[in-house]
Amino acid sequence: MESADLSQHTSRRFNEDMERVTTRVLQMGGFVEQQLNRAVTALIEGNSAIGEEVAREDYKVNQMEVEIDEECNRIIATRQPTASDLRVMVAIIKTITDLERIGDEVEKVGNIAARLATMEKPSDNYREIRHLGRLVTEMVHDALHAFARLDADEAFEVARRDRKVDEEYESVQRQNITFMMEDPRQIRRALEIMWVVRALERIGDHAKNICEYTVYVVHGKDIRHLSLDDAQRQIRESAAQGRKGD
Amino acid sequence: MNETAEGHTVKAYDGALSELRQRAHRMGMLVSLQVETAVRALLESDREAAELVLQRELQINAWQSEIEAESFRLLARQAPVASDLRTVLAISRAVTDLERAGDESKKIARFALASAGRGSTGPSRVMHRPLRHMAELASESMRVAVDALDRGDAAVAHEVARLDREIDQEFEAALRQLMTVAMERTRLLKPVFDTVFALKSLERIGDHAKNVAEHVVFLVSGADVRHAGPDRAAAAKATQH
Repeated sequence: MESADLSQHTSRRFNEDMERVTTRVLQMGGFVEQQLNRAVTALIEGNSAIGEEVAREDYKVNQMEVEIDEECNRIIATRQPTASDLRVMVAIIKTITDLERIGDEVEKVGNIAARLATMEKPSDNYREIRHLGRLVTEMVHDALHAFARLDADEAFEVARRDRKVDEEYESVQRQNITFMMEDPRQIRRALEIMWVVRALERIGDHAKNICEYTVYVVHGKDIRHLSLDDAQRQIRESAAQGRKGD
Repeated sequence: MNETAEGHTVKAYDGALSELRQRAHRMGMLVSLQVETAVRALLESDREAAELVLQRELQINAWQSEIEAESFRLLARQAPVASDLRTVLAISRAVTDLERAGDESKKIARFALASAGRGSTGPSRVMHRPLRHMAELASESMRVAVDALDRGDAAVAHEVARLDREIDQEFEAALRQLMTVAMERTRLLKPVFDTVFALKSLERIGDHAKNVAEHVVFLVSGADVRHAGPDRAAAAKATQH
């Protein structure tokens, strides 16, 4: 048996496997995004049917996670990928975990939307939530885009938006508390809204995680416990060192 | 590891695997300890305890990175198969949950600091008992789960799931009680919010412990039990927040 042929063979098969898995991850991401959109719409429009449906369909996200995860485990076991290929597999496994958790948060929003549908809407008609919802939906979308193209610069840019999401989160929560103080009859709704805002904020965190995995694949660097500025500086510095060493 | 048929008897390699388990176990024990320290900081407005939690959180993060890097190295160099592969994958997943559980304790410690900074006395008296009780349960379930990870004992998964249900019930009850407090004393809404989030963090830690136990089941049997069975569905329904 020609060993060179075998390795070529293995890597071609591996590439096929990888392409198939990546496609499924993007499909999963697309579905999660769509669910997120519908959950926020259900809340704003007071549509309990859509809210319930979104919550009901979370099992599909779970199913996709388990299937992709099993597929990745199978690939690692049978193809014994090289270090850099293995890094992609690890990043995929982590990404689907975050997508699944986004799904869980979306499910909560769907359930709350269904519960709030019959209640009177707030005077601002959920303007802030609409805005926050748009921010995090775009983050999820762009994080996956950066992941699909292995674009670390885009990943950094998307990750930075999480700060904006956190600021909005704080501001909506403060406003929410003010609403409650002014009108204690609003407390029940305001507490539900609090969970929605919290869920959206967490979705931003998960999108940021996905961006960090992209940087990990591209630069081989674990940046999770660094500030984004430090991470980017260190990557630039080690790139400059690498050039000097050539 | 009785994988002699597969030829994985190299001592150094087995040593690396058991070392990996031990490190995950040590990390888990610290995560478990963090829960109780954080809640104590919150209840007693103890700044020092809160700072200690934030300090240890850095250690937990560093351990996570080290364990993951080591898992990766094992996967890349040794290409483990069968149960060894599952061990490495299960430990990688478990440390992700451990790190996230650690984050929740950090959040509680931050509430404690912020509340001490405002000169506030912290959570309302009626919330002390549920907070303390949930902290005990969450800390215990984490300890049980990481012990099981260390021993490769899938049987305790039920015990951890039971503790998780207990935590969820306590969480629901505390939330209802807190709602009443909020309606009666609207001036206290800010501490009420912090308390809600602290309770929620404890509830999440219970979830992470349950996840760790599920990774142990995967490690031992190869079965993926996430999202499976009525347990999970019921638990998800009970905590729709």
